[in-house]
Amino acid sequence: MVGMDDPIVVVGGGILGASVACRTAERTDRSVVVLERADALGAGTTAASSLGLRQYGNEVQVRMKREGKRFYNDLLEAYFVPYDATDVVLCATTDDGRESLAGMREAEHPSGSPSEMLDGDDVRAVVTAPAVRTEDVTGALYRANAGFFRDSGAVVEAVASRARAAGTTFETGVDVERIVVEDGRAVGVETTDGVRNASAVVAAAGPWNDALCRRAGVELPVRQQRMCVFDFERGRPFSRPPPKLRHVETGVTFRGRPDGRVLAYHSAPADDKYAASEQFDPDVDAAVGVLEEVQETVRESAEVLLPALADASLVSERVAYPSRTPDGNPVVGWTEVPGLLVAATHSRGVQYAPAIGDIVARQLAGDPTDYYPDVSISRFDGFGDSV
Amino acid sequence: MNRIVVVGAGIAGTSAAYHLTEQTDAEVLVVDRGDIGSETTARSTAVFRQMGDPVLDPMKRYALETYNEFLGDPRTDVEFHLIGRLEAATADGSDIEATESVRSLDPNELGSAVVFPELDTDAITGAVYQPNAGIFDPVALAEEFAARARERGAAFRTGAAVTDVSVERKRVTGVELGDETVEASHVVAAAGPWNRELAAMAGADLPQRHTLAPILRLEPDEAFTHTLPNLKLDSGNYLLGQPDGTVLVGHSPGGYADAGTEYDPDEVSDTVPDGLRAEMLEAVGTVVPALADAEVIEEWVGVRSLTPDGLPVVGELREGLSVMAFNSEGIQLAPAAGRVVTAEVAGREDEFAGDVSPSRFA
Repeated sequence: MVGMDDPIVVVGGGILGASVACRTAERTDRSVVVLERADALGAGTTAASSLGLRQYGNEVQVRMKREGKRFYNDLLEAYFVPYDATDVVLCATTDDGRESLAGMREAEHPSGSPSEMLDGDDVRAVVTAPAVRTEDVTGALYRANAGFFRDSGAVVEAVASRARAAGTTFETGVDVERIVVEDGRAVGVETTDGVRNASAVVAAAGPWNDALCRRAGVELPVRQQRMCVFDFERGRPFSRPPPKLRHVETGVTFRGRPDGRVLAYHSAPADDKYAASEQFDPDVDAAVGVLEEVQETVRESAEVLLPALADASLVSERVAYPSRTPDGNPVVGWTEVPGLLVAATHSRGVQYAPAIGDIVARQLAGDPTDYYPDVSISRFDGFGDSV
Repeated sequence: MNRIVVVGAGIAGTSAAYHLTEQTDAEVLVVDRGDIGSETTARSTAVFRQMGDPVLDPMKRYALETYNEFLGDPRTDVEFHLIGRLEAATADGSDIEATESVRSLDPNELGSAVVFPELDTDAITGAVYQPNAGIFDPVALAEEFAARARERGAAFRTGAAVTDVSVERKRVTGVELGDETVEASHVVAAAGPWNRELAAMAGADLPQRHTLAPILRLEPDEAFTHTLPNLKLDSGNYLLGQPDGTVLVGHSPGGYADAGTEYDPDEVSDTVPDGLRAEMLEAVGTVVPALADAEVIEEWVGVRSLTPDGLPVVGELREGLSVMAFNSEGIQLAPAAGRVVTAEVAGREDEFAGDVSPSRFA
């Protein structure tokens, strides 16, 4: 039998795991250990993230993002984490696409940042985006007040530093193979480095959560979408890097970086992203690599919206597995197995991480959270938790 | 005789030359006592923002289309940096106007809405935030206008001061550069704070007043993690981050009613007066404590022009003489003003002309 003296073990040293550890260590007296299988924190899904902060979504999403921004303001006051403001322009090149953007704008909760529907012709009169080609744009949703961290390692390290200051231990190169469940309760983890006892286990391992939790007897209402990520480099820098630019019809997103590179990523457009997703084993699927046809789609989208990429060279490509949930809200907190908690998002992990960390910390401390009905696993039919 | 002389090679004069050479067959000569963009333009902070103003915004949209074209040219030196703009009250009861695009923020909300970790929100009583605001390099913009005008045949004479305006039979017929007379079918006054003097040489009165636009460039002790936004305080003091990590601090004392008429821009020194310097540093140090001990590494003083109704004054002042005058915001309005003057010279009426015509004060 494990005691409450055993540490809380967080599986996954990405932005979610680091935030859970930070906020738990700051809220409770309990010791926290974060286990990361890679050799560096934030090297998995966080490294493939666009690292953006925006402020759109339903009421709960905006509230969580605002909480996140407040946390990051405090973090940036204390740690050097380069951050750059940007614009976000979602472009449609068909009438249906424009309708879909208008629908997205309708769905934005008014507590988010102001946004604006623009005609294609208006984009270059409102947004300083010289590289964007607007001839084929039938409509655009302009979302200001956005920005992104320049480097995933820097933001995760800063959160981890704060967590360490509150007593958290981070161990890298430790792969958690199994969550140990005894008498129906999570009591530890089995790692490549031996068994660790735990007073509670938090699964914050991104796309690796599903397999971990399933072996512990917990099915998650979380799937992954296959996302191909590309880095382009031009022979010469942009006088103004492109904004975050999404082509709604193709599912391709571009984002200029201050170093002159352009990040591009593609996930298949779908009305219901959860339905279009599956539970991937990233270690198996990654062998498939980037599909030829996806690269072609990105090139075609660039011709339409960002012709400056025509002579750019592709310097790297990889596959990432952003998680998707049935309603788009994160899945956070207690599961059916006492002692096992989960931290999962519908993409946007960097933005939600501070709020998610706080929810987990409160549940571990026995404090109530207003977010429970909107983020608990038990909000979905067929899923329960130990509460 | 089909020669247009533009007086002033700042953002206004170079925009005029760019539009005149694009849309007319006239010979265009730009004269400036200094260099291209070397006076008022160089002293501008070059903030660009659209405020939801029904008259000014369409002009600014035209400007942004023009500047987007410049930025898209691989040869350009023009840069733009998005920094956002926060207007904040530090005293109770200060009114800060919110619009549809500029949302009012409670000070408690600021940290959850705006990335500005260095701001002491306890020192703020109210705020509005406008994310779509940024900064250009003003001299690069003027040089880009000038380069394009030159490619289309415009001539630039720098280091040439206008000493008088020639008037014959109530019509302006040219300018005098010391001993030399340059004849012109039309003269465009684009000389910023010297416009009043130019107009007076032609016997015309220009409703334009001036205030000092002092700037201190601060070097923070430690680098910030982001470029600080443009923060405008109700006291008239403001700051804005620069791409190189320095921070400009400025002061704007108010509108036309409080402004002076007889500022001689030649007499204004680039040293910020001591009292003003202390006030500016105190004001920004209170809201951004990390700047309280920052070193002043550069300073200058611009002369800001203001108009009675806050709109530009662009168009014919008297026969043969047109003016391009702004209520501040010259970088944002110069493209539209250049277009208006050009249409007028060509005998057309630009869609913006009615709102900015000097005749509204007649």
